[in-house]
Amino acid sequence: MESTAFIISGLAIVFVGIFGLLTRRNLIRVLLSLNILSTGVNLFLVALGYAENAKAPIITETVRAGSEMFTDPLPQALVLTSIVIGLGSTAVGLALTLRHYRRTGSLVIGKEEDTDAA
Amino acid sequence: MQHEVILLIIPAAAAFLVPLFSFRSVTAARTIVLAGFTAAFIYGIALFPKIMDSSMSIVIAGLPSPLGISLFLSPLSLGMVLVVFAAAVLTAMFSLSGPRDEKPKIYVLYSLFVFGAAGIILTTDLFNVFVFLEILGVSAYALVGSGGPASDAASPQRSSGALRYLILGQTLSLLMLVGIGLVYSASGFLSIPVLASFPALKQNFALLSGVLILLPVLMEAKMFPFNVWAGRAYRDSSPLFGASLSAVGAGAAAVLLMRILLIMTGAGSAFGAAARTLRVTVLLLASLSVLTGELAAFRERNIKKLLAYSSIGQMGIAVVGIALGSRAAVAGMLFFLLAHSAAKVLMFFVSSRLIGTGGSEQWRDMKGMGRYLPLSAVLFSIAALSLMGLPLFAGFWGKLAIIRASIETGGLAYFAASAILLGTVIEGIYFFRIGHSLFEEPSAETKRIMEERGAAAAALSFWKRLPPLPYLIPVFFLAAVILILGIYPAMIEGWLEAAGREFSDPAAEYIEQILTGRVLP
Repeated sequence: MESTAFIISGLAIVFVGIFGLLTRRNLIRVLLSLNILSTGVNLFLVALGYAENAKAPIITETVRAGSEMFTDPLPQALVLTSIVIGLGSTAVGLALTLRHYRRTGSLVIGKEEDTDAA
Repeated sequence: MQHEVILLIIPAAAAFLVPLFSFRSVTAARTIVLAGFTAAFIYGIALFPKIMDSSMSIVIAGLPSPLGISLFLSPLSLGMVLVVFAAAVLTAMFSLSGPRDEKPKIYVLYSLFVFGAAGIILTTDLFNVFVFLEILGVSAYALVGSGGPASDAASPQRSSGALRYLILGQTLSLLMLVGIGLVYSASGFLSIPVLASFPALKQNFALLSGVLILLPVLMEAKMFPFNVWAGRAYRDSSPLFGASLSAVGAGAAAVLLMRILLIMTGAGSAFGAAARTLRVTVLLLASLSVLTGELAAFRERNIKKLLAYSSIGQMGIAVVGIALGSRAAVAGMLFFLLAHSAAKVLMFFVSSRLIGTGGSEQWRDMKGMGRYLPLSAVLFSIAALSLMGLPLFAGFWGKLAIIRASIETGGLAYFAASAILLGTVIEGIYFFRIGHSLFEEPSAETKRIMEERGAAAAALSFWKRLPPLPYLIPVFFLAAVILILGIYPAMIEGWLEAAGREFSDPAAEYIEQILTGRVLP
């Protein structure tokens, strides 16, 4: 039940992100939408590996391998990687946005940039 | 550790060495990149005969696939990595002839870009594919945004192309991540050979996750309708990087597409239930890319954008070959990809020189420049004739094989065949138009520029008047590849045959070699 709720809310966030990407023109908002989308995807991935009443997949003195139910650690590892990648690409996106703003004084990619007048 | 892994370590190491040794001098950065990729290329060539005998899988961190991630060296993957490295070596060499005011940092990104492409080709793990795709993507966004050198007035440092590329690329790769998550949740595996062998997903589930995973791959392959970024991204990047985008990026995308569409769709494999739908969809998209790409190129005036659109059309032809999936089609596709990479890189190099001399990116402004720079114009024409697929040039054999394979398949593939033929006609028109205009009576402006240049050169000796060696070696090498492959295509038949084995149905060889057999200790 909980796991379904996580999956549904993860997908809901994904669609919020996609809605933002499709409807916003302001570059900062587009990048924010991308981040919302990536948060949704990350939550979705973690939810896929979730198991109810299970322990965190860390073997200690009291928790032994094989004797307990664990959540799946692999999606969590994937999400860690994906968070780092998201950070990197957001940084590149913001840097490009900043330069675009300095060049054109606008936060929107408009038609004027598409002409080839060099 | 198996030492073959240095194939991937060298590009990464080159990326991190560049900032250490080249704070100020861009020549140092170019030399490091050139030396690194040359070393990797030579190492790959030395490995090649062994791999042609038997493929091998490289176990990383002592955990063999499917638990760990392993790299797979087969005739196909090693061959494509060598093509990628060769493009990188030629580009680095060519860059030595470029202006000195380029930022050295660009070469960090460039090495990472090639590293990402090589990783995509070699890896056998779906999530690893995603990571390498991101490395390739993020460095490509930054490279496109960096534009040409500061002194190059013809290419102002615009960010809009890079931003469009980034937004589309990131959205699609996040959707791919959803697809990877779905596949993992249903099968419990991410290793491509495992996914290719048993966990058959239900039809709709396979279709959904398959489409999600294919999205960024189709984007990197510049397939319609995910190619809106291509024209502007090529326009904004320096011609050098344009050459790499069309050879390195496209090569990696093609191999990945083959893995997903041909290996992971056999009977009983992950996407087996949706195999037909996926292949037909990709076939239709590829045919539409051929038509839209060539039409867009036909009415384009900016030479860099024109080459980008022509790349869309050419990649469409290659992807038709992948979607058909027969042995002959795949072999033709690989030949075609090789010919296209050589021709496109050559065209970008030559047009970089034409743009640098004339100061304009519009091909109409280059009218008559061939009278002053005959060598460049002739080389451009050789590449154009090969792209069109004229006999005696390399492009002919690949295109012929793909058209023949699609006619043999019949049905919907007739549409693909007619799209390719129509695209070739359009391509012929615009390339002949450019080739003709290069030798026409030059405009007064071109005359003035060229005569000033001529006057300056007249004082020099004959040898000094020649273009610099870092320009001559790559362009002659590429032209030689095009001509030799065109006249004697049987030369690489052995490789094509061996590379095609990987996709024999079912992909038994691929699966067995990674999962069980011949893993060296």
